[in-house]
Amino acid sequence: MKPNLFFLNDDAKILHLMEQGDEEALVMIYRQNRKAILSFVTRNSGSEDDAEDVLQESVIILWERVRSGRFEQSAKLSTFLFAVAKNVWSRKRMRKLREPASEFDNDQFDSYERSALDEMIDSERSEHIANAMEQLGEPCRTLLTLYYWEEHSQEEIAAEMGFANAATVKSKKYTCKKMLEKILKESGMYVGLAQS
Amino acid sequence: MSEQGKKYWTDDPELVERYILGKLSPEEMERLDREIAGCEPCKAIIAREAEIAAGIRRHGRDRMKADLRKKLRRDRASQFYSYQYIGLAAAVVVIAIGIGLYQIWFSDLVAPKQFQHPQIIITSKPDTSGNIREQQNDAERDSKQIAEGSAVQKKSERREGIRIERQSASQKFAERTVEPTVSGNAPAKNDHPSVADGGSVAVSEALPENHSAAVWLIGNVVMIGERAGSSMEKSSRSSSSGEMTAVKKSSDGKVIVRHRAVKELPSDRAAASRASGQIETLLERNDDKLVLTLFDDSVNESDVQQAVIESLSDDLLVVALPNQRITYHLPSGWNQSSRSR
Repeated sequence: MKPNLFFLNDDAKILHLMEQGDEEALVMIYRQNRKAILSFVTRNSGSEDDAEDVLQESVIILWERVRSGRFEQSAKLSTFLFAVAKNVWSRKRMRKLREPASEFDNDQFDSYERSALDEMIDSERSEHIANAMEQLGEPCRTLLTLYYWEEHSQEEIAAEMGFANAATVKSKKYTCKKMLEKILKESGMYVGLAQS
Repeated sequence: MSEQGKKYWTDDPELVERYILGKLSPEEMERLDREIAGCEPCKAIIAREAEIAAGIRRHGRDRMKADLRKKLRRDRASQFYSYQYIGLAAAVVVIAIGIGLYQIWFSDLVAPKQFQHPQIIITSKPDTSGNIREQQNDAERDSKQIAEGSAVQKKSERREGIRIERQSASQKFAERTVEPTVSGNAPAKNDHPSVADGGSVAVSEALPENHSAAVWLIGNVVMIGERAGSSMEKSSRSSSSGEMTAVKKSSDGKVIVRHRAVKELPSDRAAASRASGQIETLLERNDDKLVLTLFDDSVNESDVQQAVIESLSDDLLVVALPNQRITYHLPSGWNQSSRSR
């Protein structure tokens, strides 16, 4: 039986739900911030569809951060989300207009820093790899997603997926990566990857 | 990976993954960066691992985005349905309120409205004994009988002069309400003379569309002076006339004053002893008119012709005859209804 928890504010509740892996948190924060981000994107040459896309991506980036334990709350969630949305829209607009990414107003919201991996995610190659992941069966797809995307430790994955221990996860992960590389090779997508 | 036999940290896949995912301290990261600075194959390993990690992340994001879109669609749909349910509930409430208001204004549920429409009329058999005749018009009678649902019965009733006597809940209510107001003078069910008890006056209930009503009142007489011809003289003249039909309408046609001899009173009304200076009076309402029938032998046709309605308010009616003034306390609501119509 779940204990009844009381939260001081919506942010605390959303973060708790995210930590528990409850995707309802995404809907909650989406609803809370939709108006502001819709307004921002449409005021900056974007359409309503662009705004929806930006908001969804921003919400998911927040989810990634929280799930991987890399989120440190120093402001309201809406503040963080707005900063992420600005960054995401800046990159999307850059790609649309084929012009260098320009920063929006340098204000308090520009605290969101992208990692090297974040920079690579939007690349064409990562899209190929994402497609190859669709062809990868279970449990490899879930295992690799938990490890690389949600950044769970091998111990956590062992507990979540019912493997004996972390060593089993490590071995399974190695096998799964090889399978993914094989799919990429067979589809000709691996050619572009750097060879060891 | 080795370059000219030298071992590099990129040969450890676990360390590479942790480096890629940023799970090392900044100092460690800096140290590892320095170590592979001159090792191109090491950089290639890092780049390949990073591409795979980025691709897996993208896959995770894409799947979650698809899930989120589904959730939002479902959420919007359920919101739409909840709005529909709210709208439906609101419509039901509005309709219920509407029906309630309709009933308040037009049905039997509310006392004042019913009181303004007591469904009582006075009818009689064809005159064989010189009693009161208040004939309903044929159209009214026909419609009432059609409502009874039998044409055969209608013919039979016409032939025999029998009235269908009905009493609805609304009439009962009206009578209950009237009685205390007029101090027992209202024509309660048992007070009504009927064919059965020998009188020719029957109190029957009209159909709801007939807005007629009657109530017995006691008029208090104040003499305001003698005139030529004594009251005795008038009395004898009146009594001998058998049936007085003098009618006086008020200037606005709202009040009609009639006169009848005392002997025409229904037996139970006649039996009641009245103090001198009081006149048994039947007040009827027929649509928007009040009909006042005075049962008094001291009043004659000429008096009625000269009658003046001195005052007509919600609860008071004063009729001035040439030598007397008769005051009536009207039951609550009687005059209002004629005004509202």
